[in-house]
Amino acid sequence: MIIGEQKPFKELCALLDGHKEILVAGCRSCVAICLAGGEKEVGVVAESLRLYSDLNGKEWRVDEVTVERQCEKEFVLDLIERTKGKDAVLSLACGVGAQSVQSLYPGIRVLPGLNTSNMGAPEEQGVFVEKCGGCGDCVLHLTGGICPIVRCAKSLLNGPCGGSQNGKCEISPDVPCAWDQIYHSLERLGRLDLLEELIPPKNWLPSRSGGPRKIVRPEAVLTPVEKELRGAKE
Amino acid sequence: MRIIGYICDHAAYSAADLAGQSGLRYSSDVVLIRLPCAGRLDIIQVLKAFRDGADAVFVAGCLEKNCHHVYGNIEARKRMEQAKGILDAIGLNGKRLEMFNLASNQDFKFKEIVDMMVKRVEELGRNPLAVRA
Amino acid sequence: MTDETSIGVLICSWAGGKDGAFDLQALKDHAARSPLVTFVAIVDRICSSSGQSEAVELLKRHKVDRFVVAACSPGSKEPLYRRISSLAGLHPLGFESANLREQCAYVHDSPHAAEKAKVLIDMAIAKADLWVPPPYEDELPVTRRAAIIGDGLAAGIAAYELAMQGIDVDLIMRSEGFEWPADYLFENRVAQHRAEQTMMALAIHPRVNLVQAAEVVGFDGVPGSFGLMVERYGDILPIKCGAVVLAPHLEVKFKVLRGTQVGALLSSDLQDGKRVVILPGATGSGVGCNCVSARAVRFAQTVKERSRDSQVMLMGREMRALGSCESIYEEAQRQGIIFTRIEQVPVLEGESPCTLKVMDASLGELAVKADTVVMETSDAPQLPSLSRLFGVPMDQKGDFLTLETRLRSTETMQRGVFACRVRMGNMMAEDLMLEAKSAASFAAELLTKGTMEVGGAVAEVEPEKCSACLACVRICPYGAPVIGEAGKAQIVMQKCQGCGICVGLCPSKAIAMYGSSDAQLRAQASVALQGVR
Repeated sequence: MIIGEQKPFKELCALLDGHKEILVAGCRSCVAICLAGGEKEVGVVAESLRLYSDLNGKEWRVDEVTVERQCEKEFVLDLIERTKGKDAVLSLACGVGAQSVQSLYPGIRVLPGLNTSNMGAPEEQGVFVEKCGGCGDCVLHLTGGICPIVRCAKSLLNGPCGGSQNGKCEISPDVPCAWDQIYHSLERLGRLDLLEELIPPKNWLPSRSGGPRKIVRPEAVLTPVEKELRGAKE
Repeated sequence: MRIIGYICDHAAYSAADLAGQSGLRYSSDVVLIRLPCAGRLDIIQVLKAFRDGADAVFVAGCLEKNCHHVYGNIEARKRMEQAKGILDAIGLNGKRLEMFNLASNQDFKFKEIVDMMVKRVEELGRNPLAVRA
Repeated sequence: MTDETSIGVLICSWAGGKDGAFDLQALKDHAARSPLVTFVAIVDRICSSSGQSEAVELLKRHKVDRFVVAACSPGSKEPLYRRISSLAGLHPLGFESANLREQCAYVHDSPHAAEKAKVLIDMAIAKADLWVPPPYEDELPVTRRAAIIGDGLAAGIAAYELAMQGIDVDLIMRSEGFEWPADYLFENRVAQHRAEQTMMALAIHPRVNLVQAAEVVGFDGVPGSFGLMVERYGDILPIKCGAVVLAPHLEVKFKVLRGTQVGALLSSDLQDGKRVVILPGATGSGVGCNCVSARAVRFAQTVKERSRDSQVMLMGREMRALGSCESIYEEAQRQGIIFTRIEQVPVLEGESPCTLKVMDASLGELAVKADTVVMETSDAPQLPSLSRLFGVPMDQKGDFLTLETRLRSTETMQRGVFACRVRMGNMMAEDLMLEAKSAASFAAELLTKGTMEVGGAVAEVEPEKCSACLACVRICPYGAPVIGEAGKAQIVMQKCQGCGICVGLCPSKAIAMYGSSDAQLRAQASVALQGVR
């Protein structure tokens, strides 16, 4: 899932400076799970802002709402009544959610409450670790299920560097060496032979460098005829 | 002044009752709110209490490793530590919030807790939002 | 809050204590001013039978749907208020309490107490106004059977005690017959005799069903209606029960480190191997380690009795012959058994005979010659698998983790599952029997009535808000939340013990708690802080 972290409170206050009618908007999806922007965090941030405002004479009026998924038009459009009269939305969703809100409410300034960080998984309750690099050209079948792009600090593709010591990465004793993990994973699978299959220099075209990636599932897209028959509901 | 004390239904509530039966006295500025377990409390409640003008808030639960509900007291402590940080960031001073652990027969400790929080408010001053004397 | 709620306020005449710290009329007038209140009355000693009748009468007459009791601490009074509520035709849980005595009149000076009493009543009224009838069943039928799992003394005693309470018992044993404890587990002949009597009575008791050569392979259901799957000679046997007692057999053995077999030691025609040293089990540092247990002393006595010219020595950091076992210690000394106080585990040199190099606390470094060296070991081999299957965690010592050492020592986090701790360092037969009786009495509490109470102050998930993040599933001490078929969390009501930890934790605010909702807590704080800003 997407993992993000709230910006420090002082930063949130700085972002909201100059605004008066504020809506704090959360999401029930990834950010709720990584404890950054679910309904509870929305409540905490909203209440904190109100307290700060009262203490510092900011005269902020803070409203709060949480939607099912902030990246979906329909759910965001449901907010129309709540956005009336607001001059700022503090989005506690990931960057995608924040952008969705801005695009659907072009007249209201949307501010990001989170620093959206990475794609990862909970290792245990409360601990979220990056797992996938989103490179668009997955090689997990060759690496025993371990992503060399993000789990190796240098994103090496064919084995560890000289800094790999006792299974740890040279950047920190808390960070395992991904290639050590890859080796052991392939060993458990009985497929050390896969290490001999060289992964060529990465084609970064499917990744972030070439502009926003777009993926289309033609069988799901509504054709012009279907749209017409539906009565052109936007 | 006004101090809100969230007390767990087991150790803290019993200790408070015992304090009464033992003839101990403490400030009537403290109002107690009963919780099924200290772990019931979430920090939004605490923030709202401060916004309503509470000068201080305390949470009292069972002794560590002796929580009637196994570890509700530990959960509460984690959340209150988080809340203290938030209060500091807001500029309201995290010391206005405190969590205590005690046993159900510790009537004296209960009084100590109340007295400590009253003294805390005297040191830190009233909540800037509070107007009533 | 709404036009639909109708609150009655009952002020007990002794709310301010017997000597009346309050002007009750003033309190009554104050409460009556609230728009939420339908009527206020001062009831003379509400806990007395006349007080209760008066309360019921008033509630009926004014047709309220909930009430506030302003009196002494509700701690012990709740069953009484439930009774009043039920008799008045209201929901048994439809009331709130204001503690005006122990937490007000008794602790504050006069004018302040009266002022605060008004605040406390207002808080209770605000909370009552937001009361929502909880799911509640005070007589849910339970399966009036208990399943006891284990092969030894503890299991047998637990089964016997429950059978004597009129509960049908399935005693599920791994082996074909009972694992009878060794002689040295018994403090004395009296204890042994008592155990024998009980076990014989057990074997023929009509309520006891012995399920031998059986392994529990499955466990599901809810407290009061559990289902076990038991494998026996290749077949799966389903067993239903309302409560489970885990009483795995404690195996105490004296492991030979050097020299002759233990069996030979305990036979009277011992030829060689006359110098015997007994070392403690549980090595390491920490409480209870390297101690001489009463069992070891009894073992030493047995060796000495069987082989009169043997020299028996016990080594350990501390004596742990507790309670009635102290006389065993004294007796052993009289028999000429030697106790050597050591700090660390001795170093063994050689085979048989061997030399133990050890530091005696008083005598300094010793080299003790021995023909036989044995070490006490104890194990409950069935314990880890039972722990996994029934969801009862193990503590650091490898024993069942129970709720509280003194008052709830055989209750586990799983409601309806009770566990006998077996490896508590120094368990003798009497201790095992007491554990078994304790577990049996808790199980009986759940089962004898034939029904149990479910619901009330429990948590409930609102599925539309749930993010299925698993936070509640991971945190609940009682295993009550599960992810249901719809992919959202739901709380198994029979397991919920109303702590509210999940409520405070849920990142999507999807869990609410009856009797302590967010709105109720908010309202109380709000009332308490009225006028401050």
